[in-house]
Amino acid sequence: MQMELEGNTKFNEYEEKIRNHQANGHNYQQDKLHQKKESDAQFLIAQNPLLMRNLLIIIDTTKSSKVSDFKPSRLAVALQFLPAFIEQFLECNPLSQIGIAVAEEYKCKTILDFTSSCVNIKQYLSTIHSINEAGFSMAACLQTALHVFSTTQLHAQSSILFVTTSTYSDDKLDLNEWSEKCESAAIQINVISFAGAIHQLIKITQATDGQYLCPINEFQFSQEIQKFISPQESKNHKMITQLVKIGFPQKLIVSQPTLCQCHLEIVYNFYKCPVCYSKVCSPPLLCPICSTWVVLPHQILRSDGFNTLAVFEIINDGLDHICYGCLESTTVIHSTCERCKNFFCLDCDILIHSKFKVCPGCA
Amino acid sequence: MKFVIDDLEVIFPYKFLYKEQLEYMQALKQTLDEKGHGILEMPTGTGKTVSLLALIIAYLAQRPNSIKKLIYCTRTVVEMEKTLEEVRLVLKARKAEGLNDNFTAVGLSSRKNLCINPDVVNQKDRVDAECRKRTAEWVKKEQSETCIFYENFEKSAKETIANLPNDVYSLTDLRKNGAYSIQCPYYTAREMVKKANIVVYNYLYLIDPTVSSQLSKDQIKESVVVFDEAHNIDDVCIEAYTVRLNKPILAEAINNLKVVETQIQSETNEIQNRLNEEYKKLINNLEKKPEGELNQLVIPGQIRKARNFIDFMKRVINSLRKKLKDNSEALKTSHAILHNPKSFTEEIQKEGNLDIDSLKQCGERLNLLLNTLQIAETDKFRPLSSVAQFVMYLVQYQEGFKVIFQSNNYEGTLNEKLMTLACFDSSLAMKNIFALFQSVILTSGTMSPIEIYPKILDFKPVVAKSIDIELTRNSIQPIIVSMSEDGTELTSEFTLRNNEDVSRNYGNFLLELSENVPDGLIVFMPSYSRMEEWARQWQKDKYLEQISKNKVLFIESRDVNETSTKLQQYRKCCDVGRGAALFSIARGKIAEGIDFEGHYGRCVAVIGFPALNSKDTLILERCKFLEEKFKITKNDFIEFDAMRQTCQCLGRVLRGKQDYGIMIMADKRFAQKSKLQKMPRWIYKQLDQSRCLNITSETAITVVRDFFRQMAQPFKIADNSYFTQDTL
Repeated sequence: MQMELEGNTKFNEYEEKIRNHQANGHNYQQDKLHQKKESDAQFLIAQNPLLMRNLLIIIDTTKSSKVSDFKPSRLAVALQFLPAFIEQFLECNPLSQIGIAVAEEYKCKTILDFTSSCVNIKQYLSTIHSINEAGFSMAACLQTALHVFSTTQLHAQSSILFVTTSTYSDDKLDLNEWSEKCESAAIQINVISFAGAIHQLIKITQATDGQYLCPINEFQFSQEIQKFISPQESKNHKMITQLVKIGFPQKLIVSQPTLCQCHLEIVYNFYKCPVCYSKVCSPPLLCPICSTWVVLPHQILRSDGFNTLAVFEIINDGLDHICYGCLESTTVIHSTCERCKNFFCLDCDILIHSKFKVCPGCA
Repeated sequence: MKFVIDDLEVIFPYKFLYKEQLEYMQALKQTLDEKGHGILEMPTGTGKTVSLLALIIAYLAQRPNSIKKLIYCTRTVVEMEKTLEEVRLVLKARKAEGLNDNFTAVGLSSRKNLCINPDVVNQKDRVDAECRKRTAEWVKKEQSETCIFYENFEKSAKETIANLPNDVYSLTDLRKNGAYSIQCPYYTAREMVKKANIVVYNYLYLIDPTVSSQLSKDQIKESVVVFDEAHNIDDVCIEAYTVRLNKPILAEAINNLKVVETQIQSETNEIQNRLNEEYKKLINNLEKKPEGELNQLVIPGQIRKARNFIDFMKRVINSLRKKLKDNSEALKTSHAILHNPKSFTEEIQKEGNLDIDSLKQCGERLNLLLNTLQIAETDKFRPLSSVAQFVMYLVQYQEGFKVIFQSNNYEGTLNEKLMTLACFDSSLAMKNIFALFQSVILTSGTMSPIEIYPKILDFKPVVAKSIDIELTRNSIQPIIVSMSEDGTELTSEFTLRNNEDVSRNYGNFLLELSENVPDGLIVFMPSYSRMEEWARQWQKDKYLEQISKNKVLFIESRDVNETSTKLQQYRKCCDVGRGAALFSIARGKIAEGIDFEGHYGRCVAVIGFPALNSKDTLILERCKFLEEKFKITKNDFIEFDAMRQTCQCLGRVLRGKQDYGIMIMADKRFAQKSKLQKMPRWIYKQLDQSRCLNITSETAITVVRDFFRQMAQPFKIADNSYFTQDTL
């Protein structure tokens, strides 16, 4: 299986870390063990993810986003931590897409339609800035969101993540009406607020099985936002099974600049849709020409629920084994895959569980 | 749940019992054991009423010899209904435990709240008079319009009441039962009060001398009287004994007399007969009584005859009128004129040639006459009875009273000279109650400093206790703001009232608050005039406009109906997430008795120090009296009164353990030590001295922001702050 890793640079990082720290002895082992536990826990949470998720991030840019109780400002803090979140989100949910909208004075504007291109999203995030007028309106946001979600596929789980800074929702529309519409459309509403609990918004999030989080400081913001990475259990999500046309693309690297069909940008390496041969740059995406889902194989593998990977068992037998991942000898603590009985060092274990989601031995 | 305090088995209707509830019950039990009076302070929203009821009902059941009856006094009808529901809950729990006790609980309220006769109820303000018209003794003889509900009640009252099962009868139940059996709920309730073990009614039924005299005949000594929300009880006592008269009222009284006079002079035999009968009765009364013993019902000879009495009253009114006129001239140059009751009485006596005994009895005599003449519309004769009351109190009580002439706007009359017989002695009304009943319990959320109440009400409590609240998290955050951002002082002091900086700083602070407080924000200001002044200034500086962008703005008005619609809208705005701000008066209707639970009240800001107007003659005199009699200085009293008012306002915000809220006091005077000492302990304990005392408005906003984020974290009440059946 040919794999294309977006996290190629990450891999190098890991390698470097392994080389640098090997000599540090016991502490190093403990740290690694701890890391393994964390990554395993994260892995277990995300074990049975929904195949596709659509997340719309709505950022409140009204006057209160300028408040500087979070340094330098609430909006800046949000924009500082969102890129990392989006990166992780797309890594953990490879077939998912993210859209961005901003809430302005009594209205809501989508600035980016659903896409899974991390670079693209980051680019658009950097264009967001605070406005001087107050007037955050939840109902207007929900109206926009419903409009945006109406074009997406039914089998995907739709959720909204509000990043609010206001202490009120000033609605020209009926908020209840629109939140009920969201509820019936099985859209999960999550809120991460800078301004404390607003009774009505909590009620709405509870009705749609969402979460209402309220971080106390910058660090907690970066932690709390992680909670939205793995899909949350949703009671009112109607499982709709549909046949989806999927195509695995071929990667091409050319020396001549070409225009990609999806974003109309100049690219040098791109993928070719197996159905219509149009050039696309960042799978997974819906081919703009023939509406085929263009996905890479490892993305499906990583996001489905086939139990291709289980948590590796820690073995502390003190014997020397050759790690099946990096082909180097491991000592003292190592782990083994239950299925293929291969041994792995802790570094490879962590890497497998957090990134690959597939055991090299079993594969 | 079921548990034992000392040797008393208490059934509590909830699964959880907070620590402070247990403490409260223990203190209460001690009071009952010692058969004395008690003062108990416990924070609002911690289940005060239910613990009180659970304990007293247990006591009633298990010690029937020491206590026979519970009289629970509330301030409003809503509170009454709430209390009765709690009683129902307790009794239900007792039944579920298999206890079989015969308790009847009944609520008594005025005709206005109980009447079910559609013809009468629609009359609104005239319900009392319309009812009397239909139910008075003489009405049936004349075969005029009668009330079918009352007639049915008369016929079978005894049986029905005897047959009523032991249960809780709230006002709604009474009305429902009445409609079902076609019997008057009001009279049924009045009859039931005599027999029921648990009675719930208004303060005034005990305190107001005109009302309490009707009820006091059936009181049992072995009763527990509970005054709920008793922090203002001294004001109620004083108000009950204060009579105000002015020119229009006196003119009305003369008109009343004329009506009575024409009736007496009418030649119809019937009325003459009745008058004669009455006269004979009075004479007989006199003969029956052994000589030397002064009885209340003995009417002095001078006013025994109806005609003489009318003349007498005429002279009384005329002399009062003359007094008012004389003093009006003098009022042009001075603010207020004071008279000693004693000298004032003498002057009136000389003026109208009146004797003291007759003055003492004129109220009694007036009621008698109105009865004889079969005048049912007593409300029309209120001016006349006020006059009678005025002279009665004037003669009866000398100490603690003053006659004050003022140029005041009273009841809509512009700049009408006002004659007030002011009572300053709050112990007067309570004296009877303390003597009449075995145990009197005063309880409220804010009764600090607790030592002052026994002083001003003149009694010795066996238990005076302030009970703390145990909070798992710091769910209340008192903040004392004394400076604005630029360092100018924030204060509502009288000398700075024209300073625009102060009002601008307050406006700025409120604007910041409105931006950072989610859902409901309640702002209390010292007085209407001050609020109007500030609002005008804020309007000019565009603060109100900006605040209304963050919150929907409501302002309390003097009109009660308008205010209640505003409150409804306020709640609605909080419900939809828009958030609302309510500007109200620290001594207004909203500050007392209206709860802002949960998201309806996330922040209470008391803007300015709500001190009584120390220039007002009435208050000055009251302070003088208190200093003379109880050695309470003027400053002490004014501070005490302002702080209890403030704490009442602040207490609006916390209505339970899950609830949270910010309490802001924005005036530099709050930070003074003497004021801090007068705060209830449960508020003072939460005041973070280093972070929240004496801070600028900017720092306060930072604290507010942090607080709301802190409170939005998931939270569970700590296990060790309550008991369950197992852990007890």
